Amino acid sequence: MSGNGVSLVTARFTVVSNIAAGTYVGVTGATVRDMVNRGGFKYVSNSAATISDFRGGAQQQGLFIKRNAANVGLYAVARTAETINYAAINSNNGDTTVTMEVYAVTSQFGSSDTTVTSSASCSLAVPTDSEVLTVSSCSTAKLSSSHVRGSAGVNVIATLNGQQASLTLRVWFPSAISVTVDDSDLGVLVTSNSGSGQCSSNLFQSSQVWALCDLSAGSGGGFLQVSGVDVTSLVQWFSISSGGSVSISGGLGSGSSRAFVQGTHLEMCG
Amino acid sequence: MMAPASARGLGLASGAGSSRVAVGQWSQGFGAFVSGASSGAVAASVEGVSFGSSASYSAASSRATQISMLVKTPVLYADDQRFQARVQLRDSTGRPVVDQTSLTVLVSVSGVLIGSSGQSVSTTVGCSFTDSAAGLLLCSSSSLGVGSWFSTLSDQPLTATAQVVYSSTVTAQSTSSVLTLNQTVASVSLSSEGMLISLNRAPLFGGNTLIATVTANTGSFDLSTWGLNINYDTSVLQFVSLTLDNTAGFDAPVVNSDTTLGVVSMVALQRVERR
Repeated sequence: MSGNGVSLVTARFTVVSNIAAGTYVGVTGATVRDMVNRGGFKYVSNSAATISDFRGGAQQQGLFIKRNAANVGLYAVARTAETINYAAINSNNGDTTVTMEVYAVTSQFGSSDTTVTSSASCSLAVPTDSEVLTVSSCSTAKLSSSHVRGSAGVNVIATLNGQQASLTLRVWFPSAISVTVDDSDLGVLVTSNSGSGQCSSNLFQSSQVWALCDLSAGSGGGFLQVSGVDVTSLVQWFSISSGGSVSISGGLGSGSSRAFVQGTHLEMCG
Repeated sequence: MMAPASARGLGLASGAGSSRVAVGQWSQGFGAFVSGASSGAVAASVEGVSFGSSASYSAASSRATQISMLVKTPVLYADDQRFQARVQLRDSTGRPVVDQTSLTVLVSVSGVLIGSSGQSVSTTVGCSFTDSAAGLLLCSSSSLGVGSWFSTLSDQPLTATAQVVYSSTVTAQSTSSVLTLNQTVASVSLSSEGMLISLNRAPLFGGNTLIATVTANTGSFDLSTWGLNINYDTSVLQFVSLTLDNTAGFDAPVVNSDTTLGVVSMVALQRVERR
């Protein structure tokens, strides 16, 4: 074997993890103990090997540059980016929370993104969007009964060490809640009910009651609305005249019957 | 009524009532549907009475119209051309789940080469979803394969842009990021007999591997036996392995590694062909 550039071996070293970033000069060198031909002639003996590194040119000692992974930027995620303010329909529904996540991307090939949700700070890009939702940390946006409108797009800004990321949330807000009944004319079934419970004398038909509302997101040019949303199961029903009188037709007289809501039924008793 | 039973949301009834389609079967349409997630289940209740059974659904997703990119490897080196970028997709509403039908996401890398040629160059890197529920993709290449684009005169600037492509049509693209090809240095060649050790030129992270490739200039001689000592600073490097280049015709070297002093000694003899 002869020539220039004859490939012999490859040595591998691991860079120690906990050393500081910087340029490390003189970390390696080599001595050619001997190069001998087939005739036994030693034509190189105890000679420094030449090193080629980042600097270029022929060197006697090698260097390498150690660097630490740095954040190249952030991104923010809301896996559910569209939601409804249920508490505005009925505070008993509880606040609606939107889970958010913030990650830092590091400058190292193959490295995992770092969760920085707890260390980043989050705020609303438009302060008046506090009428839509509340952001007190980067982990959660909260929609409660104290909020007064929806939005086609609330921008939440996450900030960490001068880097920013944003995400957009669409919030639907209820309005114009209305009540309808399947049958507004409840006829008497039994005029002399001796049973127990709510009805002690006259027993009437009952009817399913419904609650509908509109949902809107945004205002002005970005206004979005859907109408006739069935929210029967989300509203809180109250007896419309608990213990009071309602007008009764059919010759039964008035002032002796009462109507109330049982579940999602309008019932009436005499 | 009908309403999402999981993935809290609201079914938007087309009217307060439902229609009978057969004996014991009723139909209730949704005029619209606001779902709390990309999938869930719907359940029916009759006059306030809920039933245990439910039916699953998947909400149709919209096409991605927004794309952003963070380049993890903003500087490439002649001996380390690995490229990686994090890409995030959203639809026009800001939802991270997007329609993946006929969708391709890629990073376009382009620039004009420094020097007299002024040649325009470009290449692409493919992207794959890593978390489709969050609209996240990773665009990765183990080597960009652009060795001829590096310059010995200065750093070579390039631009990288992530693109959303539906059915071969670019429908959205990110803002461009600067990608730099680090200036290369002239390679070293031995002018007389001896050995050359070539080290990584790209910066290294902790835990990375420093590779020392050993070549020889035999001058007018042949090489039958050789010995080499490699010294290293044990406070920053740990010896891992030695690999013989089989093309040189030597038997595996006899290696003595002293990890305290930081010396790897080796002796190799020319392989004897046995018939």
